[in-house]
Amino acid sequence: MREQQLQHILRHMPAGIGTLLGPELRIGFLNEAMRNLLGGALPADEPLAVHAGPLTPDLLEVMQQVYLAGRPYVAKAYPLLLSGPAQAEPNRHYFDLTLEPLHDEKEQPLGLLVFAVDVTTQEEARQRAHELALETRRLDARLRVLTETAPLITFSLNADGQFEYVSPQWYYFTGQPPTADLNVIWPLLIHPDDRLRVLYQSEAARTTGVGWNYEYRLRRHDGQYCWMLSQALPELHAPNKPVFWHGAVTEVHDQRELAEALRRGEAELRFLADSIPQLIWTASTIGFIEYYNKHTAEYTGRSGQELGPTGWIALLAPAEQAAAARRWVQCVATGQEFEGLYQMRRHDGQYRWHIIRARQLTDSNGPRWFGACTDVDDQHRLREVLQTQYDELARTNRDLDTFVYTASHDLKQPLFNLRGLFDELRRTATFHDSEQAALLTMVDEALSQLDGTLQELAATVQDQRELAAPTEELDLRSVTEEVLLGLRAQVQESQATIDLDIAAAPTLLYGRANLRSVLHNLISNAIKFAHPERASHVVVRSLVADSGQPVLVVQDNGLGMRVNAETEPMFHTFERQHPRIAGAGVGLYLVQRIINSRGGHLSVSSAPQRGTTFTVHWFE
Amino acid sequence: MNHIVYMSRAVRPLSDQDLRDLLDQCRYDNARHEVTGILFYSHGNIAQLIEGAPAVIEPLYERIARDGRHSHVLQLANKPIAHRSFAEWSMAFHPLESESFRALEGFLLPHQLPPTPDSLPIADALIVDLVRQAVLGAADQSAL
Repeated sequence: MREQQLQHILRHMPAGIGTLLGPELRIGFLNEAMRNLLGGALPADEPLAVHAGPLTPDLLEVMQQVYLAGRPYVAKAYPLLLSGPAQAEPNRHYFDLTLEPLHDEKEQPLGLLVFAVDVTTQEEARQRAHELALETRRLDARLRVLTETAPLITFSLNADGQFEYVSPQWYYFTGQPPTADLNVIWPLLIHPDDRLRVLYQSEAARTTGVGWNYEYRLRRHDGQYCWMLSQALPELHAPNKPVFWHGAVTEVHDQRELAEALRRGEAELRFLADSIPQLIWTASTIGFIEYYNKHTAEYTGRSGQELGPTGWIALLAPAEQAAAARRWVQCVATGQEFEGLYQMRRHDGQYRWHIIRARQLTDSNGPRWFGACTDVDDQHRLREVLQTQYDELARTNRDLDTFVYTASHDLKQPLFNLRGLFDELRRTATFHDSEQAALLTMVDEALSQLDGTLQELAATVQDQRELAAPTEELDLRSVTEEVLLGLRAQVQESQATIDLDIAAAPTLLYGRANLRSVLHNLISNAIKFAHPERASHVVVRSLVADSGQPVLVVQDNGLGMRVNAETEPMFHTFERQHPRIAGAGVGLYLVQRIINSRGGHLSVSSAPQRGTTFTVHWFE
Repeated sequence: MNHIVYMSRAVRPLSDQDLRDLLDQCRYDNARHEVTGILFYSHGNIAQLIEGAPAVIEPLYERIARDGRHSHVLQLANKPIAHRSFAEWSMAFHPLESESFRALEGFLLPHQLPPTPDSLPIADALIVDLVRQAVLGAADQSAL
């Protein structure tokens, strides 16, 4: 009964148990696990070598030797390829194989007891652990390489603030020997001006269990102090109980210097902007004002905070606000320059005219707006006063012209009547006294003179209006002939010879009425002031001066006059050179006015009793 | 009565569904608390004007500013106003599928936006015009 129980236990043990008998190791007892291992029920009494199954020759050899030597042997984690269920790939399993020699009562070798425990799971776990250990070592090595080659100093501090580790870069940077006592030396290498602050800040961070982030100057191996950025974080083990601080020190000297230079530049620019007595501001890409200079606060009486990103619009005169806002939105959208003349309210409520101008600057930070408001109130008011005065003068001038024109016309009719009445009187009345007859002639002359004066006054006003007439390319010959046609009576009466020499400059770009007026006045003057003792000879010449500009010369052989050679001759209305000759004294004034107003000038040379030459410089 | 104007950037672009949910949620909440105003959204850019009692919109703005769905929240105005300029709360954006949004209450396509109300102080109207241009673009110049 006991034997059976034992057999039962052995058969169902989870470990393989088998006996091999005799020097041939013939198969004896195999429990179920062992049969599975060997690949099925094997015939008893056959040598194992014939039915080796997954057992390697190597293992069979060792079994033989254990049998012969009679000493047990344990093969740990021995790999065997077991064929799994039909046609599946064989699986590698690991077994702890115990080979125990069996003896009979006389200590003679009987066979082997084979005991096989499947340790595949353990073995695989062991192998995985091994691989992990290898990987960890590899990572560790990489971390070390990283730590020791990255261009920064890494360090670890313990809870007491003592250095546990510093990467070799610290030694390269400071030039300290590897034997240096970090805890003593490091603080000494910090710039004296920064030392206390750094010691305080790191201690404060450690006491409160937080990280830190500060900059200080550290002495380099060459004695120069460089700005360093020190950052560290606590490593927490127990909740809120840091045991280490890990951190890095990076050189930020260049950045720091650059930032310092930028800050200085910015501060200088801001100082400049704040010193200018103009309203200066900058705005973001999308049109919100970010900075107003000091003068803006002084002028408006409001701080930049109070004004806000668009507050400037409310400072403009109410009627201008909507249009200015639209224009600004449009400029921001298109990048066009903003410019305009606006009234801006001062802190005391007075509106002053300003030119507001803003331009977009595009740099690496994207577009931004820079604006200025220039106070042009004084100039603007002055211009307004001038404009008012100018308008007034222009009106007065117009009124005067109208008055003169109207007067000359209104006087014409009574004069015409007077002339008619006088002619009637002369026809019907008889004078016996010869002196009375002379009186008659004098009245006649006075009437003619009055008529002439009125006509010329009207012509002056007429010409004044024509000054603004458009210019055209004029043929000098045809215009002159037209004028001579009008002067036919005078020419015939004085038997004057008129020579035309215009081949050098036959055309002129001028106002037609103006040219006619100039020619009319100069030629009629030349005829009028003829010398009583010789026939009048007038030469009209058109030529091109050395300056390249056209010139007209009208030369006569008449009475001549005294000309002050020093000064430019000025001809005024009603100023008469020859009181004995009939005329209103308007002609030359008119000519000069026309020529001056079109950008030229009139010059004259003359000798009494010899003749006069007028030169018209059409353009300067 | 106060109003607050701010701009911000969405952390990730909002989908049509996100916008729709936002519209529903905000319209419901805002109507309950008598908050009116308008929100512009396009390509991750957000701008909003809210008006209402200070006791309501101050904490509302605080909540908005802390909302993790957007960042770079920049307040442009926060001040008392004489009266409301918006009759309700609405949203304007370019949905990918405009058809399904057309009939939604409180939703406006950007080109349907009415001009900025005249009742706003000019400086605030300029803020609204500028943020609207910054968010939705300057396409509708003629409407301005």
